[in-house]
Amino acid sequence: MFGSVAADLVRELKNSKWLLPFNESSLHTIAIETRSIMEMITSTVSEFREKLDQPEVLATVMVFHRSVQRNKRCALAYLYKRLERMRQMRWEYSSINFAELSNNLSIHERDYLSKYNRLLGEYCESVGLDLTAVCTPRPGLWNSA
Amino acid sequence: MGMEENGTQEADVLPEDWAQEDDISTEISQEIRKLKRAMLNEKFSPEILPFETSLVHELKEVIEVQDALIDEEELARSSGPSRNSLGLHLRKIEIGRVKYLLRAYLRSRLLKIEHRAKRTLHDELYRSRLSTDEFKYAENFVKLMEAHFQSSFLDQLPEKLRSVDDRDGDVDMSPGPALNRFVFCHVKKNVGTTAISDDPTDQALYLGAGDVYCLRYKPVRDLVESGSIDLL
Repeated sequence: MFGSVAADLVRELKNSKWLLPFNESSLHTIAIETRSIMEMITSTVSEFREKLDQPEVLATVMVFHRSVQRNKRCALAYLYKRLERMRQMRWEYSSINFAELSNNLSIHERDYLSKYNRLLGEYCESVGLDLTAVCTPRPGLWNSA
Repeated sequence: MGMEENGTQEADVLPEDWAQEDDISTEISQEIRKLKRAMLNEKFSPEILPFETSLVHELKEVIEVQDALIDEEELARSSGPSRNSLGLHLRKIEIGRVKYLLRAYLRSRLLKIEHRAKRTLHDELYRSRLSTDEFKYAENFVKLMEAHFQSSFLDQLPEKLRSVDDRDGDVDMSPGPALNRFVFCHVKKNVGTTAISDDPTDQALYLGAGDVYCLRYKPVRDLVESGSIDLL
């Protein structure tokens, strides 16, 4: 069934709290599956060129198309969510390079993290404050109106 | 920054450093109150609010001046007997609070930008609410993320599929901020009867000064912006 690897990937993400090792192989499988579905679309369209307005043909192409979209969506959601978690950790633990966990990141993710750090640093500089410093107010802040 | 001297005779008998507490004059404490209000509104609002350019600018200046004065004084006192001056300590705490407010304000905005970066950039209203630095940040943030998607996955797909779309058929994959979220609000000025929901058959509510309500955010958006209500 199309999209089962993609669904598993998303499920893996949902069942974990932080960052499991980057699932390179699942993503690769999804990419291959997607490419083969695309080929099926092209071959179906060329084979049934004259009958494209028939509901069966349309339905087939539609199923392929939706599967492709779904695969893409799952893969991107996986990547996006991981980035979100990475950013969250960076904010909570400051710029400690979480060495143990960086083993779970892909090369691209490690690259993203260092570029993100730089981007954040540039913004903090332009503003003049380190935004990731102390996140709790000193006591007595809320006493005045 | 005005240095208000206490008009009464008490100023003469107060220790020198206590009189210097007047450095943070009433103007500035008003600005600080405004910043606190802006920070709280930003914290509880589901969408990004207009950037308080002049407020931020002025308070940044205040912080810089105060920091310089504090450093100077610390240096001057470092070897003397009055090393642990209460006045100096209080001023450090005070300026620390202002810095905290500014940081919290900017951080809450930044997180909102990160959460909905692409939408913030494409939507004219939200784009106009960003400061120049925030705009640059948002642009670079989106670029960074899309580059990551390309190199991690999309490059393995045929060219036709390499775009990152917002819609998947008829499902909007990147929904806007949750404008219908409930928020607690405190009415500052008399607003009169206003509609509080999109449903025209629902009753309109009278919002008088001093009232506290828990309402959906969307119908009262403009009131928050105009300052008639504060979020809690």
